[in-house]
Amino acid sequence: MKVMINFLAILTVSVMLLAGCTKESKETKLETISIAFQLWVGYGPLYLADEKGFFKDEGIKLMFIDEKLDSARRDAFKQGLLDCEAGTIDLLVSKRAQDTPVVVVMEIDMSFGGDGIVAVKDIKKIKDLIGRKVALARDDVGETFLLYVLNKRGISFDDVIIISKSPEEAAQAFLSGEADAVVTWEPLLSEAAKRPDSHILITSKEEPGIIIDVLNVREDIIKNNPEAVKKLMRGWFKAVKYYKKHPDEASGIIAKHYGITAEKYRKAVEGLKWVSYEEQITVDEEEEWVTAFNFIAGLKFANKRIFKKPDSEQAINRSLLRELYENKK
Amino acid sequence: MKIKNKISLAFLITGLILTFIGASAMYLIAEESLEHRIYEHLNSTAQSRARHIETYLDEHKDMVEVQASSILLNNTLKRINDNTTNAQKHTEAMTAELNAILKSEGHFYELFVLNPKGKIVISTDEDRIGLDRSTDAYFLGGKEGGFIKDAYRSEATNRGIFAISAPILDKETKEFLGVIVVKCSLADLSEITTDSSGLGKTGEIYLINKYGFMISPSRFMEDTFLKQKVDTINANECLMTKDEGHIHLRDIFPDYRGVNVIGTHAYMSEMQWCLLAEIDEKEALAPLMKLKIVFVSILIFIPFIAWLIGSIISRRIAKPLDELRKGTEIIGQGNLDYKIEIESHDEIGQLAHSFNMMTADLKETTTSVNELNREIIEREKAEKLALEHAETLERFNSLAVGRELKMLELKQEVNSLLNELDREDKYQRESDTPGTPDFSSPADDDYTGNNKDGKS
Repeated sequence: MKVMINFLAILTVSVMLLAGCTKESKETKLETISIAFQLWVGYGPLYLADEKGFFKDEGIKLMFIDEKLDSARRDAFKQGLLDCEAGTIDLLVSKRAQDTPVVVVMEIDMSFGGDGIVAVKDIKKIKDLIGRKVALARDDVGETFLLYVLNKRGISFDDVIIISKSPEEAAQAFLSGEADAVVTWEPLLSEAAKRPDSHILITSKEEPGIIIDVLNVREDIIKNNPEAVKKLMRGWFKAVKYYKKHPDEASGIIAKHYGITAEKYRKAVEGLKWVSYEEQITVDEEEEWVTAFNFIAGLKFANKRIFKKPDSEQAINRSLLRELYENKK
Repeated sequence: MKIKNKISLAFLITGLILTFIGASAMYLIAEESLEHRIYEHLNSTAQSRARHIETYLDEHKDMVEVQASSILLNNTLKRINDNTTNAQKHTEAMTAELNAILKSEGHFYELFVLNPKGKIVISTDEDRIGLDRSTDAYFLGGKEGGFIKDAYRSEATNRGIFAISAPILDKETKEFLGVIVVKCSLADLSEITTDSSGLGKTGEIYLINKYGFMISPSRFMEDTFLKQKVDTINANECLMTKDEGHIHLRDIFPDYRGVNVIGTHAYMSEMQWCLLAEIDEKEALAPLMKLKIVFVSILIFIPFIAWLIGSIISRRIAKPLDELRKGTEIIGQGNLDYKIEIESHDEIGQLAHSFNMMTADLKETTTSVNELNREIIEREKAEKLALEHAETLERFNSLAVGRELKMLELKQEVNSLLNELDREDKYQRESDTPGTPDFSSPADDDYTGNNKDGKS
């Protein structure tokens, strides 16, 4: 009897083992967030956070979307296809002006020399751009920067000949001699400056406070899944801290995504300032966002680049930033 | 535990282990082989459909680029841009040309031309003339060269479409004159993906865009266009590696419905689309279910047979052992005449034979010992009797000696009395050795009082 019981017990275990002999995926499911951005060195910590597992630690996975056209990103936001983007505040102004449901939740960096205008040597000052061919990407940050510097000096945007190109092709247009000047940003700014008869005319170092890179998120995600956005933000701040602590290692990881050396990357990011969480949470920072947003909106509207002025109150959401480390400390 | 049970259990466990290892190995090999075959089929289907779609898109892009380089369009646009007097006439002619194309190509929704500022100047839909499309991707992308705008939902028709655009350049000066745009239906692409031949009942092929949203119909769900997010291992692997030459995964994973599938993908770099080919695990691995039943049956049957054989063998071994045990018990009780009846010639038979011999020897030895014991007892009895005789003799001797001594004393007294009477001794004096009766010197009478003639 006892033998029979043993027999049945062993048989049952064996059958169960064989029956369970099927392949199952054991990968832990992470929440996927899609993010699009242009080739700008300031967004490098996103790659760092991804490769160092900071996002994974938070329980999310970032899907990097290669979409260079801002208009396509706008359409993607409108259709609910894209979750967030890293972009300049002026792009947010354009999108909000076209009823795109995105809001800024945090600042990524402030350009401090990373954006600029490279021109041929006979263009010595901004006024010399009048009547000259300037390559840039329309409805992009380059256009806003040019608008700003021209406006500040009382020059109309229509006084320059715009060669409309994609961000990558604008630098090429200048290098090939198609344009006399180009408005671009790192690492393309350094590339454009390689033209023998060229020089850097002006950069965001001389005109700071206008080019602010921010994280724009679709409104319904903030409403329905704010935790996912907070995870992304925490991963970002962790990466920025890590870069400051280990610049050699971090720049090595990031640089390969830009096709440059770690040393060149470290040099390129000298032209920007990553804003820490502690700096962003201050009232001054909030005012800076509002001021920049309203100023750019006014500038674009005046130059008929947008047809209505968007409301900064609706476009800026700092609640996630304020709640970022609640229940985390 | 009895040795019989131990042997049966050993057979059972051995049978079970060997069958389990064998069956598992065979099952895994069969599963691997089946999955590989399915994967190869899916992969080749996915690759061929993806190339078909790419060819389709390339052909359409070429067609639009050919239109962009037409002399009629070139001249018309130059006149519109320069606002010449006969621009209207040329516009009408060009519109008629575009309408003819629209008619001939059933999957085109709309053809229109944008001026350098992005405004629609010619269109098959006259209501749209004058609209500003300067910030639209098909204008911005189309300025730079042949461009395909990703699938999107048309605001006008609410249908899923994609747009192809191409720059119109002056034939001589290469000056940018505008952009021609063709809005196309996704029906042809859907036809390519929804062809389910060779995909069984649950196999499906579908397209997702760079954001991971479905842009071709689902076989199982309605209204998925740009609504159904495909956040699966297969989709993510494709979108994240973005590599046409990537070695695709072959695994079982839940699809967008949550149903376990086997799948693969093909990446289309120009559009950043992924074509996913998947089939339900249940259907794909159905042959394995039959195999599993066979293996489970084998797993039950073979160990059972092993156990049965083990039981028979164990009984054959245990029975003579049991006989031996019984024999030892009987012999142990003293019955040395008992013989163990085992006919086999194996070790156990030999053991029984030896045991019987041992019993016989034991019996013989036991008999000798009994005889010895009997002799010992008899000897002991004889010795005891001899001792008793010796004791009697000793007592008799003691009495005899006493009487002799008394006789001597009396003789001495008689001699003494005779001496006192000056008479010679009647009895011979004892020897020089005093105390020792001299039985050899009787005068007339012996010590018993009898004389030498036997008279008392």
